[in-house]
Amino acid sequence: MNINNYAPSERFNFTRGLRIFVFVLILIGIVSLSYAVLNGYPLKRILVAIFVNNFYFLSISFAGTFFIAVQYLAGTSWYVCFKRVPEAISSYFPVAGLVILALCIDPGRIYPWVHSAELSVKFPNKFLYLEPGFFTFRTVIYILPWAILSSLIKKISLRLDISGDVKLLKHGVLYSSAFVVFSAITTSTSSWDWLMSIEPHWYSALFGWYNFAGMFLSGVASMTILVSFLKARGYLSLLNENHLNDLGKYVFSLSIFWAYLWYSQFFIIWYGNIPEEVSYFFKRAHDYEVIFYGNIIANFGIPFFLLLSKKSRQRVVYLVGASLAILVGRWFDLYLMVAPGISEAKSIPDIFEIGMFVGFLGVFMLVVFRFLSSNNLIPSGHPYFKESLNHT
Amino acid sequence: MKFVSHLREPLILGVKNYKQVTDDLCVNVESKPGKYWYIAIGISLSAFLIGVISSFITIYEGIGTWGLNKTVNWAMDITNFVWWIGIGHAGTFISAILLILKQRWRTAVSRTAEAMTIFAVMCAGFFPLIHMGRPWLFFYIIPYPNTRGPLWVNFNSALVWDFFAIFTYFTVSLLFWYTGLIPDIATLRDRTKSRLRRFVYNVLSFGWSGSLKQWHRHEVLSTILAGLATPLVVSVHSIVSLDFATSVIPGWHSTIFPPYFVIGAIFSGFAMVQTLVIIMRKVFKLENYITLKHIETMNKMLLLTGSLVGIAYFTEIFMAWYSNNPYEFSVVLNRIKGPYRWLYWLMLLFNAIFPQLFWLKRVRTSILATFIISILINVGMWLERFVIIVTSLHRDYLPSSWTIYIPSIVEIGLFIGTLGFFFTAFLIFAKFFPVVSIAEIKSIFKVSSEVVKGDGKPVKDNKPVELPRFSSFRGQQFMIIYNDENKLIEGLKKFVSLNFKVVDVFTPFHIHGVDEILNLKKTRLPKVAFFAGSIGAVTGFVFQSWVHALDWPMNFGGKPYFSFLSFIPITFELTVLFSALASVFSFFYRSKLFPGVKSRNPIIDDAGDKFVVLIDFDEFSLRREIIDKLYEIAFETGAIEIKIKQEK
Repeated sequence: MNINNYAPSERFNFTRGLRIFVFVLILIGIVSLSYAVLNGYPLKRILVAIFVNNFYFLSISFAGTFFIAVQYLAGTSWYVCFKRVPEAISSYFPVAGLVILALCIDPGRIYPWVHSAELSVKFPNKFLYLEPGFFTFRTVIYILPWAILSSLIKKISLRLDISGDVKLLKHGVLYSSAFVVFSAITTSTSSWDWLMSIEPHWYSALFGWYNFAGMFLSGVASMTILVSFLKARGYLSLLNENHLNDLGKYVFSLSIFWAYLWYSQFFIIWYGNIPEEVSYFFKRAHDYEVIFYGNIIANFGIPFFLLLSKKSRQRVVYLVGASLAILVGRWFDLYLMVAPGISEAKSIPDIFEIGMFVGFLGVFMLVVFRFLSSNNLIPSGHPYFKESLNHT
Repeated sequence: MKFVSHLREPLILGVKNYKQVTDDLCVNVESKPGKYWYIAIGISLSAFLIGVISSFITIYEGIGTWGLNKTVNWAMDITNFVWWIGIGHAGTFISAILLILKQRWRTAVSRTAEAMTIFAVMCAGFFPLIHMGRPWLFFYIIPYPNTRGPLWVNFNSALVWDFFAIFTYFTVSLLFWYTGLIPDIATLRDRTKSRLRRFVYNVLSFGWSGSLKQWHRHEVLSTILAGLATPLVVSVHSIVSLDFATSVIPGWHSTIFPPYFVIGAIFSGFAMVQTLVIIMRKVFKLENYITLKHIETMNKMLLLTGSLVGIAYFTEIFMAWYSNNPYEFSVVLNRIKGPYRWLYWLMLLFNAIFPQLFWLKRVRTSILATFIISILINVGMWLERFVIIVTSLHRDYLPSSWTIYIPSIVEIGLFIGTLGFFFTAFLIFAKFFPVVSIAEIKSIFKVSSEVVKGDGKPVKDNKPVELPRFSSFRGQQFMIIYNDENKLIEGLKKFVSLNFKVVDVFTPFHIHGVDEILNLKKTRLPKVAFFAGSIGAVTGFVFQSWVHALDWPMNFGGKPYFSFLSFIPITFELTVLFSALASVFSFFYRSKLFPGVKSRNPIIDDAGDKFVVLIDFDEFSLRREIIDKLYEIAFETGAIEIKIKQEK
């Protein structure tokens, strides 16, 4: 078969079995939520569980758009033959955006700093910056442009695959640069707002970039899993070991990048040993031991050894193993950022928190699979399609 | 051959063949340098002389000749150090990170950038040495068994990490640069007529012959070195940033420092590459190789890194305000409106604002604008380090110790001296070695300019060589010479499928696919790299732990003796160092590359466009009809010549 003239259409079949599976996942989520409500868990804890799990999938879908935007800007072609996967992931963004908007309308339900007398005396600047109205306003300012730009990029991407119009490529570059510039600033500021402010006494200049690394890493890891899943189901047959190798490299290098930022932040605070800064990690390393060390092992240790050699990066088993570890690690990472700052949380996540994660996963899968089943999996009209197939 | 979409701009302009590529890129070495070269080297040498005089004064009189005082106890020396190290970062970034990212445009500028790295790191290393006051005792910073206890160096100190980082970085960059240079030196050797030059170039080229296995290992080695150099380059400037960030001085103790310094370093390094490349392409007439597209791409890199540096500035200001830490914020205010405010505002302008002009395509593709902005960025990045270092120091916690630092003439002389050294070294390098990698340009040549015209004519007659008597074939090998890699691959496939015994293939650059056709056994270099790296890691970690926990327990900031987090930087550096040294030396050993070895290439390829297939016959297959078949295939696949090699 001459792959250069191969231009079929291929559609993902959202089978009955898969549908039932997804609905069971969602059901587990609903059951967990009702369990928590009926058993009298504090409202704050439930909201925090919703916040963590929602932010988890918000970062993944954000990373989907970010991935496409980066590829547009760099003018690469290798991703073209599986580009439907990052697009599918990014199509979840509006759902996650709505949930976080709803949660942040009244930040007082989650964040400890609202109307805190102590904060207003000791840290007037923080109190000023974290004024609830301003906080909600910023949340809207982040979510809306992200959502709009990501849907624009996705729309152009889809049209490009059919028409192959080079002009659209230029539009894509334009929107992508807008998205990348906007998110270069807002990923930092939003991380300070949504996550760092949970510990209002603490601050770290690196925090925004550190969280961004985690967002991007988990996004690429889920892309890898989705690509492997589609491949195992017999789709994406044009995707060869070179693409897998590069995807593996992406996961591998981002995992190292994440570890580098983790180490930089932790190390400088550990070395400086200033009480105000150290207390943040002191609490996490002592009261949340399992998750604290599990975070490093899952996000860095396991992927590093699994993806070190080229041979293993070309094998789906290793790729999926490493990516799964990263996805677990990302949840640990988020839990560590949020839970210790909320007095009601415990050092080991409760069963209902995990159950709600499963529920969110179900919703995420529903959106992603629906997107995949309604679009042609092979973007044969894309101007770089041929180049992508011949990727070495 | 790589498939490239027609939408992409070509990387090399003008229709050329391999011979023309070789000629173009060797011309600066083989012709006499022009007037400008002499003027430039004259100026650089004078600048260097100023540095020599200033060093003499510093060493003879002491550090007192500098403008330092009790409050500002290091300033311009460390600024220069960080600035030079930063400049050295673009080289490894271009050659290692862009190699991993498969950015093919890097080939035209990688050699320049790598050479720049080496010289910049040398300049950087000079400043800590001269600041020691007694530089001849520099070996005190090396941990070796000594009669002072043995008193070990403090492995918890960022300055010791610096030593290991710079040493490793210099070694690995040098190895990377030199192993890349070897095939090009061999090309120069084959071209030169002078016997002295040939001798010198042969020693320098380690007897490179361009055989199949040499290229195979060379390719794997450069991937390994790129893989090692990528985290290395990040670690080096991170460790430099830890010189400041591990302290608790406001303005220095910031968690964003490591990535922020790395990005700043790549930013300044790219600016310096731009400056050099723009001059070089003009002087050596390399406009066809270093095209406007290259300049534009690097401008995009400047835009990206410059913007990230801008975000880091913003983050620092915001965090100082948000934290409500009065000391942090007073440092920021002091930068904005203190005595050094001019430097701060110029730094913001040059580093964060001016690169934003590169959003406009007109600015991006303008040589003049690029040149000016790149120089301003170089200045701006120097100012950035100066601002960070001096503004955090000169207003001490005690207002009675507040001072102003102004560099003395000797310090300025030292800085001018390093600039002189840098440009002298670069000019000499540009005279004696190809400034653009010939072999790498050839490997991207075919794809980038779609029209290819081989100028070789196919063999005219069936048998250009009179066949000698049958019995005298024994111990002889046939050389089938091509001048095009696609014809070579086609020919090779046929020879292999008909069970001809292909002994070796000699090519002017690495050709993908030949290894698979000949079913070459994969090199074990990656395994060597892995094991040597593991040994390095264990050695580094165990040694540091033994020193600080057992042999010489040192109370350090009240931390436990066994504070393994402090040992990670050196452990990492030694991992990379061991791995790089072991893989390069295994490469030399296995490929039989040593200074003084003679090249095994049966022909002297002075045009750099000969692809030789060497075929051997055993006694049983040496039959007339088989020889005829060989000629037939060579003819069909477009060989330009067939020769018989007499075996010694």
